[in-house]
Amino acid sequence: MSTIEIKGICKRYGSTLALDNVDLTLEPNRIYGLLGRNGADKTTLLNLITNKIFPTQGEIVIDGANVLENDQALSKIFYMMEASLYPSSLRVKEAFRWSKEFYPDFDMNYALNLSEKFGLNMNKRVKELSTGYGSIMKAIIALASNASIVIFDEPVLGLDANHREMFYRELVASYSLRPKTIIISTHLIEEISEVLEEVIIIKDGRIILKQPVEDLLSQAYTVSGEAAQVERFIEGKRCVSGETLGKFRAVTVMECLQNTDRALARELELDLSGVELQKLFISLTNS
Amino acid sequence: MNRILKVAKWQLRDSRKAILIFYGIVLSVVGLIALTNWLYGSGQGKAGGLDANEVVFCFVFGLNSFTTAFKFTQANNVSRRSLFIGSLLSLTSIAFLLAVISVIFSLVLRSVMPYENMVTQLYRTDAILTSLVWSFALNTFAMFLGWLITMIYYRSNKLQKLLVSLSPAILVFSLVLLARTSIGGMVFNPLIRAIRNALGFADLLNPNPHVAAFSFFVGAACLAALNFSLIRRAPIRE
Amino acid sequence: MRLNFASDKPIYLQLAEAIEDDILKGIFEENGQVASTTELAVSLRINPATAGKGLNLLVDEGILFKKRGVGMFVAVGAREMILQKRKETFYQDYVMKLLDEASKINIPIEEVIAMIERGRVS
Repeated sequence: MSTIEIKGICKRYGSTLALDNVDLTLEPNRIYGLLGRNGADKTTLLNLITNKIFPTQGEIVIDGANVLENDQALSKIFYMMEASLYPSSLRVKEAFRWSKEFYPDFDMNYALNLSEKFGLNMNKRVKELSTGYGSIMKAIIALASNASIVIFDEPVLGLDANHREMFYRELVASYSLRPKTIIISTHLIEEISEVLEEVIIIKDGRIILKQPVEDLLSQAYTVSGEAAQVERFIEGKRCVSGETLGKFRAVTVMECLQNTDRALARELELDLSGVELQKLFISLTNS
Repeated sequence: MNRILKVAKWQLRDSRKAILIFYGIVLSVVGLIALTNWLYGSGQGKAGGLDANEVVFCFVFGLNSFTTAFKFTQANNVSRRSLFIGSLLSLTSIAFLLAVISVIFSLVLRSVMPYENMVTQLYRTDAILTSLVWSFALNTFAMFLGWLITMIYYRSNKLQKLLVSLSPAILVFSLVLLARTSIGGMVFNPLIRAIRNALGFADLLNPNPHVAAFSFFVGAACLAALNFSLIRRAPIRE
Repeated sequence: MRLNFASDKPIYLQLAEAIEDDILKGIFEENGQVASTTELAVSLRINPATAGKGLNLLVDEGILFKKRGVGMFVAVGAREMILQKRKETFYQDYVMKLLDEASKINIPIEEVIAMIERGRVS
């Protein structure tokens, strides 16, 4: 059960301000999605949380202790990075064994189990693994680590659809059986939207939103039907984006759906539906 | 503390292959020399200084002891401080181990042929403990030098790398130039004398290996300190 | 059990209704065990908290009950409760929709009633 507090974090590279005054508290035992248009922003934030790079200003505190060069705090986190950091001549099973050395709660049986499920050859050397299997190896280590905070940066890179599904299911199972704080940074928003509990959206180096997914989704809906009727419906309402196909129009309304709206829609013969997280994300980061 | 030891454990485990290959080569070469000597040798002449190889090995090992270790420890979220101390432990352990093997080697060789290791050649002594300490010190110095150089390269951008690569040549060139001038003489000669003294040759008739060992240890400590200042904020490079 | 992620109805509500449906169909029997939060989360690929919320909703309504350390079970009389609940929403969810659709495609009310009779008999 570890709380992450990000306080006033700024990160400057030369004259570029990559992160601007980021303040965030991540409560324990939730699955967070970190979303953003720019992969670099997200990775910078994750790298700061895990002591890979150093803040220009501000601090990151885990359970009251600053993470900066602090092994006690750092050992609570497992960070599955996009980059390949394992020695290329290391065999998968050796990587597992060393993970156990650095993460005493590492569950070797679980790791072996997952390797079999995913078809990961444990005798292969890291350099012999394809991109997909490289990700799989790292994902398995992350899941088996039993760290109280597990961070995934683009975990399903190179994985085929089947393996991606398997990963999401294993993630959910692992989280359900042994609750932990999970942060997933990904571009594949729709695939993962139902697994996430909260989303954090980062844009131009700033956090523009941190909300439970359910709350966020309940604050918008899509209305569609005959264009003129749709125009009547959305009068006076906050809307973003819209699609037009001939006389058909669909508009995303950024308000909670009221019963009066439902009645009006029925009257105007319009269809109502929810908005996908990905669509919402695009609207929110476009404005 | 625990993680520091794990880092050291990993580096030691990782070094086994390199050390085995090194001794494989050394033994083959020695075997070849011994064989040639036995077949064609006249029984005269001396062999010596084979332990110079291990100093080179230590230097090269130091050169290789950062990048992979850094990436691996970062993958396991270990602090740079722990990497530094763990590396200190493993590098000095290996330096010591090689020194011990080298002394044993010398003893064995001396019993079958006229062999002199570096300490004997330079300081005219064959005391075992002295050889051990001297080798240990020099090995450590060589390791840390390699370690520092690789660290400097890691932290440098392209321009800095170029300067660092050229610096030994520039240094030697400028020193030689200086030596020719009288002003240079004022700088050069004391410098040479200081180095000579540090290596225990203050009195040419009675060279002192203990002074040299001490100098090597002090030098190694300075290198380590410099290295720490470079490691502590080393960024991750993809 | 299928969930419609595109619907405007929250997932946990859909889940609760799907479980109710399964109880009505007899897939889950009274006093029988319902799938656990983990099983539901994994098979439906949703966050366990969401699955938990759906299950807890049914617990609050008395349709399910929790046995400590074992899991979630269907309460006695759950079927009745669900039927009662569904009766109340039948009017909104089905009757009104039927009438809307009929008016949309211009079927007079007498024909609708005749269709209902026809359907009832077959």
